[in-house]
Amino acid sequence: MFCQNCHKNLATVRYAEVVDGHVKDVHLCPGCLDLQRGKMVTGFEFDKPSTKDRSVSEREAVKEALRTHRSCRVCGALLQRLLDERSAGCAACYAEFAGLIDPLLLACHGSVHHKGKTPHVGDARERLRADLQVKRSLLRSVIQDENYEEAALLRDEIRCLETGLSASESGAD
Amino acid sequence: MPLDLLLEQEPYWVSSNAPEADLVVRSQCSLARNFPDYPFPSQCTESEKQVLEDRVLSALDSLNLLSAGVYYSLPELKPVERLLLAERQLITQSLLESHGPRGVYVSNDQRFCIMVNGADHVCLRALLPGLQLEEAWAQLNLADDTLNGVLDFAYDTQRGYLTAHFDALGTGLKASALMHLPALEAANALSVWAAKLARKNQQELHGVDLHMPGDSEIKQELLNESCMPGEMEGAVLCDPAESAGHLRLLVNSASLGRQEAEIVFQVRHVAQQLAEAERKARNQLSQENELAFQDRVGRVRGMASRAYLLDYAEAVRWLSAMRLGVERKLDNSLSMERINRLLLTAQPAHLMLMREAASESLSAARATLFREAFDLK
Ligand SMILES: [Zn+2]
Ligand SMILES: [Zn+2]
Repeated sequence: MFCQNCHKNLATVRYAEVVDGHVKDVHLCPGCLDLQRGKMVTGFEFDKPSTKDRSVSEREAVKEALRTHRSCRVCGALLQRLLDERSAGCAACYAEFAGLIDPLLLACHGSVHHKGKTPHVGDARERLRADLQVKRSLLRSVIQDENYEEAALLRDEIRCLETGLSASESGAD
Repeated sequence: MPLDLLLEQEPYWVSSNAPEADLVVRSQCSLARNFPDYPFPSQCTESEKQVLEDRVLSALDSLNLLSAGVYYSLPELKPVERLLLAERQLITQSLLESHGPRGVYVSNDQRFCIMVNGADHVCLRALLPGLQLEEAWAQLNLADDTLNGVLDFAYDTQRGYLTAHFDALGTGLKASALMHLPALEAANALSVWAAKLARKNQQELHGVDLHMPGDSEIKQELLNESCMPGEMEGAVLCDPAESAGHLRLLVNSASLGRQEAEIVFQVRHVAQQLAEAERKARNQLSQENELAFQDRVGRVRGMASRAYLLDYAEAVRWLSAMRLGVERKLDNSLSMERINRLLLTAQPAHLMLMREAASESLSAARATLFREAFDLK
């Protein structure tokens, strides 16, 4: 799902805001989350010029800074690093920053669509496996963040997928 | 000593019994693969690298590969021993320079190796003499299928195999040919070729910078455990206009958007076109001045039999002249195989481990190696 503020990046967090006494849930990308949090703090400053007064270029610069200061949820690699070194921190980086690195990939390869060999698995199994890959990566990151509730949920889902996968494997034989 | 086996047996690519071996020193294919559940090695902790190394080792064990080769754990080797693996193209510069649990499995004939925890979690490589890219790819493809039977690799239906570097994304494949192109260089035709290939954006022609650390620097360099700056495909690359010993590396730049067989075919095709152009240019040159060719080869033989100090760059230039002499049939006492062997054994770590040369007297040891090989009796 896309960020409900910029409509460009992948939403990674649910941000709860109280508006007119109602709790409003917004899905945001990390960049826009920082922006929201920034608003909250600066809301108490009196002499700060409002965003409307800022020049367009200044706003562009802020946008650029937010864009490149994004980091991968799984491995923590900064987008800036990816762009500078033309390398990723983990397999999940490619999905995380898909739209943002595509121009680089296109310049390097003249294409962004894989045509070569695929791992030797059936279609259903491949999907299960891909799902499992993502869940395992996420598990690793939520454990790092000490989010044990989420980790327990993910562990259950992973166990489920693993059972499904081994069932389909024994069925295929 | 742990590298005894490697030192006793010559790498398979030294043999010159292969197609186009007079113009193509060796063909090499590398295939990058990663595991989905850990970050790429540059982001891994040492304990994570240990888990990954153990995973690969148990896979090799379950496939019975450990009986057909040896796994070298790099932290267990001395710096000079690691450098020898790099000189044999069995490990990449990034594997040489990184830290923590990492290593390489080398098949007994040194045609095939599996690097662990370099830039990518796993990198398969095949090395063959002459122009044999299809054969090298076939070997990698088979090995990849075999490993895939016991290991899951990070794969995405749109982006293909996910690699640490963007330039290997998709197929994970780099196919390269190390070519000897002195006549095209003399005719200033190589920059034209390089530009033509760059425009098509499928292959690249690189110079090979054999800037070995000066013999006086080597001790310090070895202590630093790094030797040469930035590397791809096992050779230090530079501008195609300034390459040592008229050697050039032709390699695919695009790995995403085409099938593996297509990539390999196209590199081979361009290599053949280059070889054809090189032969034409040589014919032209020898028609114009046959004596100049003979003079160059003769002089080099004379110097090789009487030199007492020889740095690697000059050795490579001499070997280039001799290579030309063999191809033009100007000197029947030489062979491509002897030249390939010297290209290999004149490198610093080879001199230190095979001839027990001290790191501060490599030039002298190299000159002795050449005097012995080309003694005029
Ligand atoms: Zn956003
Ligand atoms: Zn990442």
